[in-house]
Amino acid sequence: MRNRSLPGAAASALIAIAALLGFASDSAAGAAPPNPDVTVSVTLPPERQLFKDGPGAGLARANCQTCHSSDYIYTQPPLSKAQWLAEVTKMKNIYGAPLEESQLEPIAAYLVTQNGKT
Amino acid sequence: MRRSSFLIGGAAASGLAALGAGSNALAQETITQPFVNGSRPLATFPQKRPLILLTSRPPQLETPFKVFDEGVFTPNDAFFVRWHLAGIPTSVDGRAFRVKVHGLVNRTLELSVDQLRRDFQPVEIPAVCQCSGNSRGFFDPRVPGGQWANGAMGNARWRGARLRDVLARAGVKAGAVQVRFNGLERPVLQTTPDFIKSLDMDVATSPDVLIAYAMNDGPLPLLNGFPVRLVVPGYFATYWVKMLDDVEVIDAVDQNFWMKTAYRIPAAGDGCIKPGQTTPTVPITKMRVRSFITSLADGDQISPGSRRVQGIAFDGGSGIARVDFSADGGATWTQAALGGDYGQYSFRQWSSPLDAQAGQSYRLACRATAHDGSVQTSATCWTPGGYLRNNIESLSVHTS
Repeated sequence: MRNRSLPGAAASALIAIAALLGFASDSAAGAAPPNPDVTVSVTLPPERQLFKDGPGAGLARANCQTCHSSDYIYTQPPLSKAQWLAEVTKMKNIYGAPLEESQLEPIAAYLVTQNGKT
Repeated sequence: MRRSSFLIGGAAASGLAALGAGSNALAQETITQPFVNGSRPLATFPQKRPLILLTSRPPQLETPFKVFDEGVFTPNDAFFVRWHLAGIPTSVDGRAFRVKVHGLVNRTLELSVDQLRRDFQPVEIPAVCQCSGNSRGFFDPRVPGGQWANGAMGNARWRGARLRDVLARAGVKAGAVQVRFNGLERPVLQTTPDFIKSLDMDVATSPDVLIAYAMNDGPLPLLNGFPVRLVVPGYFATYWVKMLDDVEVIDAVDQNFWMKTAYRIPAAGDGCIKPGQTTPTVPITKMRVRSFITSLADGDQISPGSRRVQGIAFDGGSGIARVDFSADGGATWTQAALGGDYGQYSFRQWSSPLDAQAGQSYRLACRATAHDGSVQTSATCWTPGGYLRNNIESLSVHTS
């Protein structure tokens, strides 16, 4: 049915190639998808390092980048000190960042210098 | 065998498909989204064409909007990418992969991808996958979170096994309340909540929810969830768990962070509130009706004369009934012609004539109406999470 327009030999050859390529030949719903029975390995590109030098930069580099790249900060809208403090506090309390209470304010102060508003 | 298949089909046909990022993975080219801090590089990630880089780790990649004008389906290599946690495997063995089905069932299952393909009826459904936070960058006032423009969405033909067929094979016991889904995505820290989502039984056992192993006739790109992901047509993408390897039937409403705290919308009314209000919330579920112009972009210079303006529309699963087009900022509307119908969950293309005179500016807008009666309005929806934007979109073009 699928290969009705093809001569028999050509159809057989196509199926053989499809098998080599890892295509299923017995799916019931239209054209068969490629067989996902392969190992897919990828290399992700290097991340951007955007934290600029300044008071608190070391804290941000050492802590924020444990779980996410620095572009998470710079693509946000400019946030106030209170908003950044809320974000950093969320990282500690909700996402479990191993931050000391005393580190929250200095990190928020640094983030305001990077992407802040008054 | 492997050798000859490699020669015939290239790396994708070999047992090991190694897909590296090119040396120019982070290209110099940038685009600017139309909101503050909207500068974005274009970046090439594995199995992807250059996409708009929102964040590198975990990767979040937005589809350039002109892609939506290429056709009703979004190519796999252009499909947006959104992960929550940086612990994403960069190598997945599709042969060794298993989906475990357990919890409140008679028989625990461990299904290979091959079993999903061969032991269950294959079902194919065209459906829009849209990030809950799509268009968050346009919120006013702005809302923290992933700052997407409108390209955190895509439309694909998803093929897989029905979740309800898989659950029937396992045998759901009495007392089941929800089904909980987890994938290979892991937090970096053990103290971070793992990304887990749950659906009520009636949704999980509806006939259109799939464990999908194919996307537009190909395998899923790794960054879109290879080898299998959950597909919940009509629902926002937060439920479409990628690299799905764990399905658990549970006896109570899930209390995990990603259901109880995150991805929630105001419970009252249409879910939209005034900035600063606080209200009880419920989990986000179905998408709202939306439409976009795809053949022109804001600020485009066009030549005078007649043309057809093209676009797309979709909703949360009732299907698009009509689209209206305006060339005068919404003062007057004409009914657009609808393109092919690929089912109620798919993008529906539309087009409408525009007769452009020389030396003019035109404010173009589109307004979709869904079969459930919902229709886009000019009112903007504001939510604390930056979800649910679906107002009438418009753009300006100018003739020389």
